Amino acid sequence: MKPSPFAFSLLLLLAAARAEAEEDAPASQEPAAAAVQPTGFVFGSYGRVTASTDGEGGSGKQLAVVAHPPRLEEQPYLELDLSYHAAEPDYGRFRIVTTLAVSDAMFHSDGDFDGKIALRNAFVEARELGVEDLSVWVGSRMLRGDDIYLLDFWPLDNLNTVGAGAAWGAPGKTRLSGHLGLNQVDNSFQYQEIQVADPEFGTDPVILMDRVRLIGSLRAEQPVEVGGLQGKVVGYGEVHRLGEGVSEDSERVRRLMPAELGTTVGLQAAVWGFGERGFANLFVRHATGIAALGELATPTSGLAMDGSVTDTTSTRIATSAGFGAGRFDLIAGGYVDWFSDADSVNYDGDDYYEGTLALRPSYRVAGGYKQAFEFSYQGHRSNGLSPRTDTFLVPAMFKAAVIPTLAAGAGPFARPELRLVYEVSVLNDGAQEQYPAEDVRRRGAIHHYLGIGAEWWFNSSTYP
Amino acid sequence: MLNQLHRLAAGCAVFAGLLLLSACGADMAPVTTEFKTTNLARDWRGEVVYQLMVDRFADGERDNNKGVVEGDLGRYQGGDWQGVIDNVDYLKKLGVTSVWISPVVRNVESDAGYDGYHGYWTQDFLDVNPHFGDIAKLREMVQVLHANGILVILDVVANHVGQVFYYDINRNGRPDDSVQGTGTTSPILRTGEYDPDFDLRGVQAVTGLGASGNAPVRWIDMPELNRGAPRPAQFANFDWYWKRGRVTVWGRESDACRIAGIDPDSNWQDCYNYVRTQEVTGDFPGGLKDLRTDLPEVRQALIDVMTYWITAADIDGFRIDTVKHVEHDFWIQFATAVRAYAKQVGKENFFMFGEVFDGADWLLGSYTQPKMLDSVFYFSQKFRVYDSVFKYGAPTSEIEKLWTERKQNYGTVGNPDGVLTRDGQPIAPQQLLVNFLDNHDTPRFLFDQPDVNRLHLAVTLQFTQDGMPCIYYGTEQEFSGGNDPANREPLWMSNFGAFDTSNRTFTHYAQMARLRKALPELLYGEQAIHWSTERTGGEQDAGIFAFERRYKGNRVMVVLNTHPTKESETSAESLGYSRMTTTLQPGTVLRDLMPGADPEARFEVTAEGCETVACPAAVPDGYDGAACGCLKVAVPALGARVLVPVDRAASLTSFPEPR
Repeated sequence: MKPSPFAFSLLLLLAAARAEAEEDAPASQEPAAAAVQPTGFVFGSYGRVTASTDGEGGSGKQLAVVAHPPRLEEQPYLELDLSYHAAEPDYGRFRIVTTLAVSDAMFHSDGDFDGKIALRNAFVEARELGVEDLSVWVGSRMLRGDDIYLLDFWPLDNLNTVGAGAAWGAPGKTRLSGHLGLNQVDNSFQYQEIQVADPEFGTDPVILMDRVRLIGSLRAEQPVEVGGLQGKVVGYGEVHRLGEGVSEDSERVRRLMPAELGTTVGLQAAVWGFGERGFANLFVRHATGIAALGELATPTSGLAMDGSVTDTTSTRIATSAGFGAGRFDLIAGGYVDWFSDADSVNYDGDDYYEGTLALRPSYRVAGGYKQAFEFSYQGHRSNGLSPRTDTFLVPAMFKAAVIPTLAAGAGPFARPELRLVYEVSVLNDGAQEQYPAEDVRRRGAIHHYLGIGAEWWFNSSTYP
Repeated sequence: MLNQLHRLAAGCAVFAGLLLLSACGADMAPVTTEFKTTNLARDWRGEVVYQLMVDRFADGERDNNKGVVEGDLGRYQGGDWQGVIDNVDYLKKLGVTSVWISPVVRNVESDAGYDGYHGYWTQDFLDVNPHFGDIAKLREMVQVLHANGILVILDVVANHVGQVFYYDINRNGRPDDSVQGTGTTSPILRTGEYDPDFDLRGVQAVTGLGASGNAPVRWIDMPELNRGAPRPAQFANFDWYWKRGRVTVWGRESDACRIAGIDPDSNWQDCYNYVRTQEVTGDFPGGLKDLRTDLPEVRQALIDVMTYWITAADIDGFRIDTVKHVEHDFWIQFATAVRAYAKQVGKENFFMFGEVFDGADWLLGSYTQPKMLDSVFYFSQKFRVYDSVFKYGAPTSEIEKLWTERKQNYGTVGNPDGVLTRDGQPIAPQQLLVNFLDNHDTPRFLFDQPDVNRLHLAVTLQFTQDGMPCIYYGTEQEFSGGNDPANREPLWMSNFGAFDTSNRTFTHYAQMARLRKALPELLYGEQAIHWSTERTGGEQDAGIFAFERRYKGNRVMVVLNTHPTKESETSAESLGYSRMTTTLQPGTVLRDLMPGADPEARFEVTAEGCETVACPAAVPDGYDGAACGCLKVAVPALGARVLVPVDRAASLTSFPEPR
C-alpha cells in the first residue's frame, strides 16, 4: 500500500485505504474520492489499543507539558464508522454516516464494564444534485482539514459541529466549502437549569442560562504547482458568536455574562511530490475571543472583569513534513502557540507560549517489519509563577523512543500496525515540579515507558 | 546535568526554527523573581496610613475569585492585589502615604461557613493566599505602590495559626462538632472538639467514665479547605502549641476566676494573673491554635518566617496582630531580630506597630518599652476619646487625662536601630502612636453615631494630633457597618459609587491630609494642650479642646468644639476664669487654615484675658512655662480651627487657599 502525500492526516486515512485499489497511482496526487464512492453499507474504523508499564511496576503514563504532545503515549481510542451510500440517478447520491467513538481504558484492563461513548458523526450528505461538484450535508459532523499525525493535532481547521454545510469543487480542483453550526456546551457558561418553587409542591426546573454558540466556517482550497511540485494553498476562517446570558453560582448569586464574538483566520501551504513520499505543510493561524478557546471549550479562567473573553488571542505556527528514500522514511511535526487570556493581568499562567517538535525516522527491514525511532522535545513557558513553587518554571522534556513495528505495508502510514514501544522521557526541573510532591510522576528526571500497541484505520468517513 | 541536556537539546539546529519563534515571545519579560529590597526610609510621623483589607478593597482579577459569595461578608468578596494596583490613584487622591495590607499568607479556606478572607488563619507562613494573587503579583503591587510613594505595611500574626488541629476529647479519632456534656452539667463548657474552652491543665479528654487526661490532638484532614498541618513543616509539631483551649475570660473575668478556684474579690492579683495566662496561652476564639511563643525554637521559627516577607515582598513595616496574647519578652527578641534583619538587607526605618486590643492604657504602653515595638494602636484613645468624647459627648478633659497618662505609660526612648527622624534620631513610641477611629474589629464610627459632622471633627483631631493617622478603608465612603463582618463592606459597594472621590467625607480626609502635609508642625511638632473642659452643657467653653503643635519655632493652634449644637469659645471668662493661654506673642495675628474656613477671618493673640509673662522672642518648642499670650476664639458646633500666624500661612506654597 502506498502512502498518500497527506497520510500524516486522518484525511488520508481514507486515502490510504483507497490507495489499496490504486496501487499504482502517483503518490503526489490526492485521491479521487468521488470516483470510488461505493453504494450500500460501508464499515470503517480508526482505533488504537495500548498496554504499557513504566518499568517500575506502575502504568505507562503520558508525560507532557504542552497541549499537543507526541501521541505515542496516548490512551486507547476507537471510532466505528457505519455509513450507507445510495445512488439515485435522478436525484443524486446520498451518504448517511454515523460514527461511534469510544474513549476509555479497556474492560480487560480496568475491569470496569463500561466506557465513554460518544456519537460523533451523524450526518447525511447529498451529491450530484444538478450542480456539478456541489455537495451539501446536514447533521453532526467532524469537519477537519489536515493534521500533524505525530501529535494527533489539527493545527488549522478542526470543528466538531452540528449544523449544515456545503462544498463545491472536486478533488484536485479549486474547492470551496462552508458551514454553519450550533452548539451548547453543557455548563453554566452556555446552559444552566435551576430549580424554582412549584406553585403547589416541590420544585420546577427553569432554564436560566440559555445561549447557543453560532459557528460559521469558510474554507477555500486551491491546488498549485510550483517548480514541478504539486501543492495547495488553503485559506480558512471561523466566526463564533454567543449572546449574553445570566448564570447563577452555587450561592445563588446571578451574574450577567456578556455576549462574545471570536474569529479565526488561517492559512495552510502544502507541497508534495518531491523525493519519494515527500510532503511538507506549513500552517499559520490566529484566533481571537471565544474562537481562540476552541468550539467545545468554555473558559474557566482568564476572563476579563466583566466576564468576557474578548481579548483572548491565540497565534499558532505549525508544520508537518515527510520524506522517503527507499526503505527509509522520516516524518516530522511541530508547532508553537502563543496564547494570551482576556484578563488585564499579563503575568499569570494563562499567558504563555509553548511548542513541540517530533521526528520519527523509520527503516523497513523486511516485508512489513520496520524499525522506527521517535525523538521529541516540548516546552511551555508561561508568564506566571508556578503556584506550587512560587517560581517561574519553564517545564520541558525530551523523549526518545525505539519502536519495532510490524505494518501492513510500506511507508510511515501503512496500517494496521503492531508496535512495541520503549521510550525514555527526560524531564527538566520545571517539568517535574508541575506535579505535586506526592505524585509518582515527580519521582525524578528519567521516566520509562514500555508498551505494546496496535493502530488501524480503514474506510474512514470523516472526510469528503 | 539533565538541565544541561535540555539546553543542549534546545540548542540543536533541528529545533532552531521553533525556538527562534519562541524567542519572539521573550520580550514579555515577567516581573523579576529576585528578591530585592528598596530603602524608602521616611520619618513615620509623616505618614498617613490606610488600612486596606485586600479582599474588600478592589477586585482586579477574576481568576482568583474562587469561592466568592457576593454580599456574604463572611465569605470571600473578590478583592485582590491587582485591585490595589488598579486603584493606586484613589489612594493618592485620598492623601494616603502608607497602606497596611491584610496578611498575605496562605490561610485555612473556610470554617463553619466563614472564610479566611481576612488573612488571620495562617496555614502556611511562607506561601501566599491564592485569592489575592501570586508572589509575583504581590511584588508587583509593592513595586507599584513604592513607585507612587506609598509604603507598605504587612499584617503578621505570631500568636497563633489557623484551626489546623482538633482536640479528640472523646478519643474517637475524628473531630466532632459536639461531644458529651451540655456545658451546664459537666466541666465541658464548649462541646465542640475544634474550639473547646480553656483548661489550664490542657484540654481534657472525657469519656462516659469521666476524665481521662489530656485530650489527644490530631491534625484536621480537610485538604479541600486547606485545613491540615501547618507549614513550613516545623510548625507541624504539637509540642509547639499550648493545647489549652479557647480563651473564655473576656467580659466575664470574675466568673472565670471563680470557676478556676480564685476569688477575684479577695485575690485580684491571682485573678488577673489567671486572666493573663488565659490570654497568653489560650487558643484565640475560633479555634486558632496558640503557639508556644515561650519556646526558643518557636520564637526563632517565627522570626524566620516573618522576616522572609521583608525581602520576598519588599515591605516596609509590620502591623502585628494579637500582641497582648504573646509574652512580653517575646517582643523584645522578635523586634530586635527583625530590626537587625531589616537593616542587614538595607531597610532602614523598618516600622513595627502592634495590636493590643485593650482599653488599659498602661497595657498598651507596656509593649512600647525599650527594645520592644515602635508603636501600638492607640486603643485607649479610640475608646476614651473618639468613642466617648466625639461620639457620645463626654467632656474634653478626658482627652487631656489620657494624653497625660501617655507620658508615663508609653516608651519615651526610641530604639537606635528602629525608626528614626529625618535627622537620624530615634523616635520615641509615645510620639508615634497610631491614631484610629475604627477598624476591622470594631463597629465603624458611623454605625452607632451616624452624625457625619462628628466623624469629620474626629478626623480633624486624628490628622492634627501627634502620631500617625490610620484610616480604615471605607470610612471615607461613610460606611457604617457594625461588628465583624458587617464592618468589612466591599469598597466598591459605596453608596456614592465605586471609588468615589467627590463625596464630603472623602474630600474632608483628602483636605486634612493635604493640610497635614503642608504643615510640618502637625507631623513632627511637640504637642501641648491649652484647653480642655469638664463642661458639656451651655457653658462658654463647653466642648472645647485646644492644643498647640510646635516645631522649629513655628506654632499651630488647633481648636475643636465637640459640642453638637452650640458655638463655644476658648475662654471661661463668663464663669470667672480666664481665656486660653498660648506660647504665641501678644499681637500675633492668626489665620484659620481649616478647610472651608473664611480666608479673611483673623484672630489676634492678646496680652489680656489671662496671666501672661514676657516671653523671649523665640520660645522653645518644649517650653513649659507661663503663658506668653491669650487667645479667645469662637468655634461653631462640631467645628474646628487650625490657626497659624498669617506670615506663616503666607509662606506655605504647597497648601492651596482654603475655600
